[in-house]
Amino acid sequence: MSLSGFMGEAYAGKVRGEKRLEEKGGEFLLGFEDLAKRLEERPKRAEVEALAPRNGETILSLVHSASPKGRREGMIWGILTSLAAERLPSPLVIQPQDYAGLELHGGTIILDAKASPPWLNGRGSDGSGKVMGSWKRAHHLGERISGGRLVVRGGAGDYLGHEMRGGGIVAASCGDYAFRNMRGGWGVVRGDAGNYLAVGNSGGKVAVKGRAGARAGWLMRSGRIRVGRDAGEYLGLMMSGGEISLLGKAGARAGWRMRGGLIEAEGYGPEAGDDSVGGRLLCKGYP
Amino acid sequence: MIALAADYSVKDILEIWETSRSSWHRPQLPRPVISGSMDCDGFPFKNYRIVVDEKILDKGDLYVENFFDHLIVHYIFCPRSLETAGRLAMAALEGLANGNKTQARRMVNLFTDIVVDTFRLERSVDDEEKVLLGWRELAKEELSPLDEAVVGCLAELWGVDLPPSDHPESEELLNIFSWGVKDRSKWPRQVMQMARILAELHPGVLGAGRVPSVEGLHGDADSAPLSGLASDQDPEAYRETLSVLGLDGDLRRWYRDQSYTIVIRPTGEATESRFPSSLAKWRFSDPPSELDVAYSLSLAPRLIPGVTTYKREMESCSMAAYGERVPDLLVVLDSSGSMGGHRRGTKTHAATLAAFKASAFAHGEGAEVAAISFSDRLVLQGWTRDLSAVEDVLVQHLGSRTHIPGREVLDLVVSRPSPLILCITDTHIQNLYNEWDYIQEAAALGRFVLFSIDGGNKNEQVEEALGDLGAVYSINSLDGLLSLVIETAEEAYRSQKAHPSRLDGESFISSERMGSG
Repeated sequence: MSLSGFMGEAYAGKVRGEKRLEEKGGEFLLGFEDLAKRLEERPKRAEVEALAPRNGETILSLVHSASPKGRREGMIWGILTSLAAERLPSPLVIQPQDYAGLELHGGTIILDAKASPPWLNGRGSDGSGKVMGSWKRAHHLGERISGGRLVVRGGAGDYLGHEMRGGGIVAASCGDYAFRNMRGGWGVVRGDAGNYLAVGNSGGKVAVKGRAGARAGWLMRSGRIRVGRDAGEYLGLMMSGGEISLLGKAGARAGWRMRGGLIEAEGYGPEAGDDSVGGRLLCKGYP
Repeated sequence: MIALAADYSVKDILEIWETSRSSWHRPQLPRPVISGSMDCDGFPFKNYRIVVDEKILDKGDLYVENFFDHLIVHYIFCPRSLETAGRLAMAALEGLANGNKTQARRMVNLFTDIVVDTFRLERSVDDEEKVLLGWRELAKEELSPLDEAVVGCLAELWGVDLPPSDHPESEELLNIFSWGVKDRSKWPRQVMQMARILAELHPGVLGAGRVPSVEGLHGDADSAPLSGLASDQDPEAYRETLSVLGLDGDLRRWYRDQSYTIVIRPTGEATESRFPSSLAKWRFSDPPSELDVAYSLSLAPRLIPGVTTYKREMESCSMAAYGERVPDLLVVLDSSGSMGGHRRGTKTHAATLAAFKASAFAHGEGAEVAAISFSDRLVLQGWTRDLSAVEDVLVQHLGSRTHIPGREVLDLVVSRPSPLILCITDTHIQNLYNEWDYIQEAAALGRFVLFSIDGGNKNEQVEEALGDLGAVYSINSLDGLLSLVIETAEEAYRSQKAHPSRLDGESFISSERMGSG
């Protein structure tokens, strides 16, 4: 008797011939927390990508079901939003939350307070107390993006577009340190920007329709900043290259210790261009 | 014979028990006793029993068989061992934000129940019938939200006519179990996710009671070594995990469980002798001295090489070394502030683990053990065969400065002939000058071995002075400490007669880490 025949006889009636239950296949993943648990303290995009599902829709359900706690989980969630946007055929529309669009390479993310997960069918609350429709000023939006678009339908918090290398960001307004260390791409702020706008930039273009706070363009090496109204004090502080253009007036000490580049404004506050060793300050309407 | 509800006799129960056992390849488990029966009360060991509630007996033979089957699969499949139960408890605690131990225990029980019944249901049609009998009985009762969610999930998962649930948690649970239940490596992640999902639901009857395990059934859960679990957790987390299982996990157990997987193999002196055994053909390639001429000629008149030539195969056997007195062990352990306290990865952790292993080994070899834990204070345990008392001293962390207790060391050493003195410190000793004479005298009377942690930051003068006393090991990596302590213990407790290869400078380190169960 063959082994299979022997086993069949021994277990006759005690085991099923066919499988009774279907089992899921593919990468074993139980949810956002399960994914986060398997990643290091400072998760890298490649690590998240390796563990995340391949399918954009599945990533989207992870994004919607997650309640990230702390910086680490926030960063993982942010990378997931980018992966979902890159893999979905249509723009990803989600609620604003810290780190959304982190390291985005392509696709479009729209942050909208009215966005709700598909399973809520447009209802006002997701059952966990999260109320749809109220705007939350999220921080670190679009950090380190290198491609794609991020549209923020409301005010962004601090560090908008921090270290971006490509792609584009549009926001209604932004907090401090927006577009810091930018190397490429473009950013549009349709309202006012906070302090320290575009600090240390070496490329890219930033346009602010409203006011810019203090120290915009500090340590700027290259790139362009355009502000629709006035700017705060220390505009272009210690800048060594690039262009800053204001349709309004610059505050006190614009171009202080400037080494290169160009600042153009309607007018300047006191001590403009003090201690500068290079660069140019131009006043509009004057040659 | 005890009269039972529903006209059951003990004999009937045992017949059903044997039927269940035969369905699961007859596992070696104790026979069940009926709750409230004489057997149940009179049996001297509380744990070593499977207790059947009389209410279960009212529900018929098949239901009782289902109950037995369920228990058996708990003991042979999930969670089976205490280590697995501990891993599940650890995961459940992580999944629950509040760290509630009762809730964690409920989650482990719920998870293992679902795994066990899904496993049974999948096995055969007969098993499916029995499994569903139990769950349908439960579904007849008023269910709590948590129980409803679980029953609803099972209805979907198994595709059976159990009451469905409109709790969103049911759907999420389904996502956990639809990956299958047979892969043990997935269990901790599955139970953690389950705990996250069900944390907010009000509990009911499901998941109550203790977590089953073979060790628990056999009554040795309190002493079963959980080495993998202990190595992966800090003492406080370990204590909490064990308390989910209803066990005490103090600092001593934490160290003892970790040290269990460290093996010390004393290289015993053995007498080797060789003797002839079977016959084999002698061929040209064999040495001529091996040819057994007399025997070959007794079988054939002429010697034809490879045909009528024979030799004797030789076998060797080792004889155990004769017994001799083993040196007693004095452990002098630095527990000052600079050692870092009882956490994984600190100097205290490495030093205490090494001291635990050395003490347990010496104790096992028949030696008496003494221990001193010192900072600018000290805790002392004199020579004893009580290992627990020694361990109590070793787990002390006194903090503060490093004052070596020279006089106390000497007092202990003079009362025993040539003991082994293991001193583990980071050598920031502040009173060495005052205690020098005592230590020197103690070192002359015994075998003094100093393990100096923090070798990269060592005090040259102190090292040099201590070097005159005996062996001094400067340790840069904490892993090295354990190896060196083991090597020292191996050397000290092997036969006192020098081994030839040792004289040639060959290393005798044979320590190793075994995989955790």
